Amino acid sequence: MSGGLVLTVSFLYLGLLFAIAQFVDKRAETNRPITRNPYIYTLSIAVFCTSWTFYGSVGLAANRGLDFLPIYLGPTFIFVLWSVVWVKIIRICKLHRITSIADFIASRYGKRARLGGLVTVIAVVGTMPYISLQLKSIATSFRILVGSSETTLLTAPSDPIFFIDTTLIVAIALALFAILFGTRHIDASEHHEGLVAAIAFESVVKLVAFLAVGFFVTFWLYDGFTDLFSTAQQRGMSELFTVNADSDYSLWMTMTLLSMAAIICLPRQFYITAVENPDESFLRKATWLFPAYLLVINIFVLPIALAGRLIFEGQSAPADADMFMLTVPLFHDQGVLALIAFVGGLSAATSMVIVASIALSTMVCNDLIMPLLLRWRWLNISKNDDLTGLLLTIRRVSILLVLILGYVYYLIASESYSLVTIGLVSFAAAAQFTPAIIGGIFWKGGSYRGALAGLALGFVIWIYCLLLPSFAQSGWLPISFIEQGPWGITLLKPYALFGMEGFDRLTHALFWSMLVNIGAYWSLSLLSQQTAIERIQGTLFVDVFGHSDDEKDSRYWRGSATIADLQQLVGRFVGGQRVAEAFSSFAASRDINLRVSQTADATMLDFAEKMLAGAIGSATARVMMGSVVKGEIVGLDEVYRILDETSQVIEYSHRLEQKSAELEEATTQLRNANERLKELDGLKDHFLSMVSHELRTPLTSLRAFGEILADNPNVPLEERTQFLNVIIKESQRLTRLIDQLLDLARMEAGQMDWSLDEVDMGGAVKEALAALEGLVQENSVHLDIDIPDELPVVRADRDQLIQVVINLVSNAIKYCDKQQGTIKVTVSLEDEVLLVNVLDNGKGIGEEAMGQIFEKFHQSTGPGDNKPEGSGLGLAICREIVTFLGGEIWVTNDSDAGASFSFTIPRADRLRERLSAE
Amino acid sequence: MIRTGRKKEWSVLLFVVCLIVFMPPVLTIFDNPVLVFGIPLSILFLFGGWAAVIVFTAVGARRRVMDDTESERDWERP
Repeated sequence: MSGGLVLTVSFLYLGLLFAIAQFVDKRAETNRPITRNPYIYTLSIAVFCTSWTFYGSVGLAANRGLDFLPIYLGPTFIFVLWSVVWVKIIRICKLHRITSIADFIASRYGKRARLGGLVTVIAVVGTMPYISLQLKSIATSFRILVGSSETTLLTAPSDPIFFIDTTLIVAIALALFAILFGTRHIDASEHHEGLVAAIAFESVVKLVAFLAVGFFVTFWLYDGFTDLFSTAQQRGMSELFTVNADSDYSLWMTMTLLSMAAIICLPRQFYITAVENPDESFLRKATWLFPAYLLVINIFVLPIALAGRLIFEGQSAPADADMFMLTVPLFHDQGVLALIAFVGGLSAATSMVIVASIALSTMVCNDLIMPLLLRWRWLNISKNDDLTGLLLTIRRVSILLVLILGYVYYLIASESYSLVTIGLVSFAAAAQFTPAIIGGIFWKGGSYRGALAGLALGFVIWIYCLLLPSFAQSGWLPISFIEQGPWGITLLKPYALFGMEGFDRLTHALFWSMLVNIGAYWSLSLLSQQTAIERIQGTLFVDVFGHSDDEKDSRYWRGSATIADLQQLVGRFVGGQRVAEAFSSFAASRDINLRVSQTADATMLDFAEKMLAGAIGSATARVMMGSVVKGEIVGLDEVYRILDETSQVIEYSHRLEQKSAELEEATTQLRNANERLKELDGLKDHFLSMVSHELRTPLTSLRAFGEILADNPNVPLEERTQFLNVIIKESQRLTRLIDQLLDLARMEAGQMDWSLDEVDMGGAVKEALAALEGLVQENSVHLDIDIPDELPVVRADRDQLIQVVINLVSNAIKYCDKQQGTIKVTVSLEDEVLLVNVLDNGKGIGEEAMGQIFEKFHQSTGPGDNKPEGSGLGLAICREIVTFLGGEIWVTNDSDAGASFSFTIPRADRLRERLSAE
Repeated sequence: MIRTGRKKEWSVLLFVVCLIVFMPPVLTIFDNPVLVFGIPLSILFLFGGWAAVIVFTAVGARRRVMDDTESERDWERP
């Protein structure tokens, strides 16, 4: 086949891609693009299938059977976990305007430029072999197609075309295409509709081409699958039907793990799945459609590999199994089919190179170059008004650089390796991001230091165990590096580090790199202190679903800047016109008027920073914002307060508990007070009615006798005297009642005049009883008195003491048995006090009245009827007096007699002793 | 998108099933070149299992919000 034809077809195909992208982009400017649907999204994720899948899988299957499958099973497993992993990552990317995997990791661990830079370096170096794989496959397939003679089928000629290496031409052509394609304008916040559509189209092309070759082999050359498999079995190739028999599945498991990591962590997969995702709900379809795509494209891998083996079995030189996709049709003189296969391979390779180089160039620009420029040439950058041109230039140069690096790796190491071996080296590099990403979205404790150390150490091990040996095998390093170890130290042999042998290289490298990576990430995260911003970002990432409705939590700028400042800053990177539009639409959405001199609030600052992050990455955006915003970000304590939901909830519930306990206590107090008030109120009503009654009775008789005397001047003297006596007696009763009331009031108010002296208790009691002589005889009560001689004196007010005894005894007279009333008055000597007891033989005191009997206004009902007797003040006065004198008063019901009232008065001698002792 | 806990649990269950089915030792049982209906058993098993996983993922990823309300309405009918 002529080289001109193949070249023409290739360029026509690339032109078609460009046309598709342009067309879709143009449409996207006017209305909602038709390409924005889950199927296009799924097909764009299928950029995962590169030349590796198209050519390499067949090559691997031809040598090692089903070992090619884990590369596609791993992604399936991760998409099974879509609702755990992908939804979260995509939501985070949308909320924080993440532009790349480096941006994601840097943003998660405190927006630190150093971390973003490290991720970028790892990504670029790690992708190098992958890109060289694409270059190699395109160059090789081109040479095979152009050569197309009997010998070229077996070994592709490496004659240069136009005196330049084919691969270099391919690399430069792809770089130009990617530059034209991906860096037409700046603003990562918008989705690259055209790019995605073109990638989706490429996915269709490679699938169709692969299926075409597969159908040709299976149903044209052979009579279906069964025929092919049985033929292969007869020719002794049944070992290809299984997972490679000589391995103990460790490679199978390693490859599954690697591909699981790769589908998330490969920069281009992250970019196309998360950053370019137009709608979260598309994931529902993509989550099973993408694995289905993988399954379909893999169905014919083994048949084509078997057919290739069967065809070239008898040949003298071993055929390059990686190129069976081309050589099998060519062997059967199917030139058109071979050309279709070539275009399929070209589409697989170009889609990977385009997306990878665009994703990497964004990272290099935002996370590597910009932070350095800001640091070194701060003044120049600051003076320059429009930086979009600079950004575009950096990205274009980075794309070229990435391709050149891939070409360099191809020159150094790729020539002798199979496609899959090269690709797996890249996978192992990408896998280094896994701990930082997975830890970052599920564990708030993951810290900047941990991530930095883990990534760095894992990367170093990867270089040592996979990258350097590949140089050594190509002769760029002495081969003894692999066989004896560096400087002959066998413990450091890169394929058997620290003497660990018996594993394949990949498993070995993965084990060591992950051990140090996860180990450093984990332990340093636990050992180091998180800064405020790390803490904020950690919480925002892990709790992304909790915080997405509540935007205020993401604001951590406390300083101030004017709207004009912000607009100018963002405009320098995104373009003034676009920023003005974005700001005014943002203001409109929040119903506020935007004045340029106005100070931007926290929401506005957040909006500006995210917009800036969309263009230049979160770490750089933060530095730039810091240059405009005066003031600092919030302190750690405040962050804890704002963000730590757990501690917030705990504190809240603690306060709630306290409040509720206080409330409960207050309620109890209130209830008690209320009861007491009610009781007092009742007593007062009772008393008032009683007092008015008591006052009314003598007043009535006073008035009655007074009126009789006034109306009848002729009343005989005898009767007049009698009436006057009654008037005097009633007046005395009134006076007594009022005196009692006054006494009690005075005592309670503390205004009583006490005349304290040493009093002989026996004498006082006798005097009181003598005063009651009349009352005793009137009621014919038997009085039993027991007072010892020689009693010690007490310190008291003699008159009040007598009052107490009189009150108690007259009470006892009132309530004792009416027929055979007996009252026993006893004075006895105790250790500290003198005890006076008054015992009657009445019916005692009801249980319910026991507690209230000393309350003022309380009245017991009389023995026979319900009519209360007395004023209800006597016992209250007794209590006031006794309490004042330092004694106690109480009442009990005697077992066989009535009520027993007792009170104590401290002995004067003991008081003196105590005073002198003190 | 309304996200329910069930969806996540289903995902995790399916993931664990994948790990069990496609990893040794279960894999070793079926990793056999013997031809069943003219197709190697290992290929039948791997691709069949793979297809099943895809189907179950699709089932788990359906929008179930509407279905739930509809089934509730069904319950209310006498």
